[in-house]
Amino acid sequence: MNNWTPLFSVMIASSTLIGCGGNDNDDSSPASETAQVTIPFSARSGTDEISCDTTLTNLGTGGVNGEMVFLGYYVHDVTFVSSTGAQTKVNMVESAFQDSANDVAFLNFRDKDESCSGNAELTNKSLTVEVDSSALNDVAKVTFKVGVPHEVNHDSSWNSQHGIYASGDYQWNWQAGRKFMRLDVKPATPIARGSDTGDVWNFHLGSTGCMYSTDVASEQNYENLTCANPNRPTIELSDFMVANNRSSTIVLDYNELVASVDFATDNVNTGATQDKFGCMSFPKDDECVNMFATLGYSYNVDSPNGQTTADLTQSVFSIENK
Amino acid sequence: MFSQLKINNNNPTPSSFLVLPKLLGSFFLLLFFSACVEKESQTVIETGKSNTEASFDFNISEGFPLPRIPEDNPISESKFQLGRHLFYDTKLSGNQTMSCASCHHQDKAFADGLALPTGSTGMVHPRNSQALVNIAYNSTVNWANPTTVTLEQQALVPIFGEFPVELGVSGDNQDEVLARFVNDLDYQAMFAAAFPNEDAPIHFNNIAKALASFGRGLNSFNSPYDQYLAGDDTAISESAKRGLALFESEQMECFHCHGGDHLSAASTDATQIFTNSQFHNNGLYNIAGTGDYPEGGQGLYEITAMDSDKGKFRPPTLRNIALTAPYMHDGSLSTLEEVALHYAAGGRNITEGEHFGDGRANPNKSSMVAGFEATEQDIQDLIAFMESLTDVSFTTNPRFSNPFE
Repeated sequence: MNNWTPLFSVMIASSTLIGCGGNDNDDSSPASETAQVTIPFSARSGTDEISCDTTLTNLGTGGVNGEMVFLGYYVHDVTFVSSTGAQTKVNMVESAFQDSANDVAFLNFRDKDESCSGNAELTNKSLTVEVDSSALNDVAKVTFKVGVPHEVNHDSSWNSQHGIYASGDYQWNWQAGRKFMRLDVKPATPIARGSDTGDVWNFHLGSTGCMYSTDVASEQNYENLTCANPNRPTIELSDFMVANNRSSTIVLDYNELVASVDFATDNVNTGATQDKFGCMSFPKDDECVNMFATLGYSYNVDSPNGQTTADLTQSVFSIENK
Repeated sequence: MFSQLKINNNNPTPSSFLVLPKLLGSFFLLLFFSACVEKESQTVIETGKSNTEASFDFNISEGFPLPRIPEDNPISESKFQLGRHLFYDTKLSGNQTMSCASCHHQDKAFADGLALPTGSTGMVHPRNSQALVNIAYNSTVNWANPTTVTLEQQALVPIFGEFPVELGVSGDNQDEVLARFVNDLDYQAMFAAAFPNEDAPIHFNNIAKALASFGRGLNSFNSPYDQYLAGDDTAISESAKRGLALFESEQMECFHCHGGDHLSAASTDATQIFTNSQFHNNGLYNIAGTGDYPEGGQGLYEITAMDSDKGKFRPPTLRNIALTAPYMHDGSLSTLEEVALHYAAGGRNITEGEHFGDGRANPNKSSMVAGFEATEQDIQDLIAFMESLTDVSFTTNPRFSNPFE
C-alpha cells in the first residue's frame, strides 16, 4: 500500500453532527475525529482496465471480444468492518457524483458518450467518504450495496434534485424505478436470437415485480410500493485496507459477470416479454440466471414469479492491494 | 456518465455543474422542509383549493366528479397551456422528428389510426397508441402497468423509453433537448408562469408535470350518449338504445369492465378512496395452448412475471371508441364489428401461423368473456351504441388543438 498520497486532510467534526453514521464502535466519547477516505474503484475485463478505447477480451463461453456501450452503477450503504466484526457506516461527501443526503454514489467508467463513440464524458472511479477516524485503526472488510435505496429508487422527484439521478440512461420509468447497474457491451459479432440479430449484450440490474401494497388511491406512492425482487446485491469484500486516507481498490470484473454467457445466442423465451438481448432483470429471462449468480443471486425462473434470492457468493467484485 | 458531464477542455468542471449549488440548495429544502415545496399548493388549499380547480376548465360536465390530482402538481391554466405546447412540439424528441401528437391525433380522440406506431428512431412500438380520453380518471395509465398510476409518471416513459424508443431522449441528448426550451423566450415565459416558485423550472420533471396537466384537461362528456342520459331521448338512435340495453345486459356482460362514468371500470376520481385498478385477459391469444400472448405483448405479466397475469390489460374507456380503430393493445382487431364478434365468440381462435392457438381457451381469460348469442342486428345495435359515444365537441375543441398551427 505504498505510493498512496493523502488527498484529503483529516477533518475534525463533532460526532453528533455526523451521528447518522451508525457507528457501532461507540466509545462513548463525546466527540471524535472524522477522516476523509478515498475508495478507488476499477472496472476491468480480466486484467485490463476498461475504457472506450480498450477492447474487452475473452468474454463469455466463446471467448469473444467486445466494446463498452455503458458501464456505470450506483452504490450505497458503504460500511467498514473491523477484524472483530464491528461495523462503521461511512458517509458520502457531497459532490457531483455523490448524493450525501441519501448516501448514494454513482460510478461511471464510460469516458465517451453516444455508446462510447461521442464526446468525452466525465468518469467517476472513486468514492470520497467521511468516516470516524477511530474506525480506521482496524479495517478488515468493506461492504456496500449496489443500487439506490428503495425510497430513492421509486421517487422520480429525485431526477431533478441531484445530478446523479438526472440521466435518462439510468432511469427505468416503466419499472417505476432506476437501473442500479448498466453494463452494456457490444460483442465483436452479432447476437442471434431466433430470426433476429442484436448488437448489444445488455445487463440492466434493478428492482422488479413492484406493486403497490394498497388500493387506496392517495397512498399509491413509493412508500407503499413493494418489490418482489429488490435486486440490491450486498457486496462484502475481505482484505480491505485503508492507509493514508486511501483504501484498497474495489475491482469489478466484467468477464466474471459474463463468464457463463454465450454471446452468440440469446434464447427466445416465449413467455419472457422483456427478454431483450442480454439480461434486463426480467424475472423469467434465462440469460439472467448465470449473470445474477455472479452477483450472489439465485434466479429462480421456474418459480411462479421468477423470485430472486440473495443466497450465493458473488464473484464480480474483488479487492486489489498493490 | 450523463450528458451534462461532458468535459470542457479548459475547464474540467462542466458548466452545468455551476448550477449545482443552487440545485443542492433546493434539494436540501426539499428534503428537510418538504412542505416548502408545497407552499404554492398549500396556500391554495388554505384559501380554497377547490376555487383554483373550479376556475380551471376541465371540460367536465356538471355532476361529474373531478379527477384525482397529485398534491405536488396542482392544476393551473399555465401548466395546461405549457403542457399543450410541449405535447405538440417536436423539440421534445431527441431528433426533433416527433412530438406526443405524432401518435395522438385529436381528430381520432388522440389515437393514431395505426395498429402499432413507430418511434422517432424507427423502432416499432409493441402497443397500440392509446386514445387520450378522460385519462386523468384512469386507475393506472399504461396498457398494463400497475405501478404507473399518475400521468406524471407516464409522461417520462415515452420521453426516455429505450425498448422501444419513442421520443428518443437519452443521456446523450437530454441537455440539448432542454436547451431548446431554455433558449426559447416563449418557453421561458411559459415555464416561469407554470412553475412560479422555481428559479430553474425547465427540467424533465416539470415537463412531465405540464404534460400531465394538459392530459387532465382532455375530458369528454358531451357525446350523444351523454345527452341521452341527460334526458334527450332523440340524441341517439333506436338501434343505439337497443345496443345500450345489450351492453348493460348480464347476457353480454360488457359493463363489468367498461361501466361507469368513463365506460372503464378501471377508473377512479377525487371522490373515491380506492383506485379500482384492474387488468383482464380477453382471450385474444393463447399461443400453442400455453396462455401466452406474442412476445412483447404479454401485458401485466411483464411487470409481475406471474403466469396468471399473461395477457391481462387494463380495460380502456369506450368513450370515442369509434374514432380509435384499430383495437386492442396491439391493434389486431380492425373494426368495432370485429370487436363485437370477438366478444360474442368469447375470444379469438387463431388457426394458423406463429400465433396459432385458441384464445377462447386461454387459462387466464376473464370469466366475463364467456361469449354470447347475438344476432346480426344485435351486433349492429352494439356498434350503434359505441358510435353514440363519439364526442365531436372533444375532437374539435380548439382548446386541445395544436397551438403552433
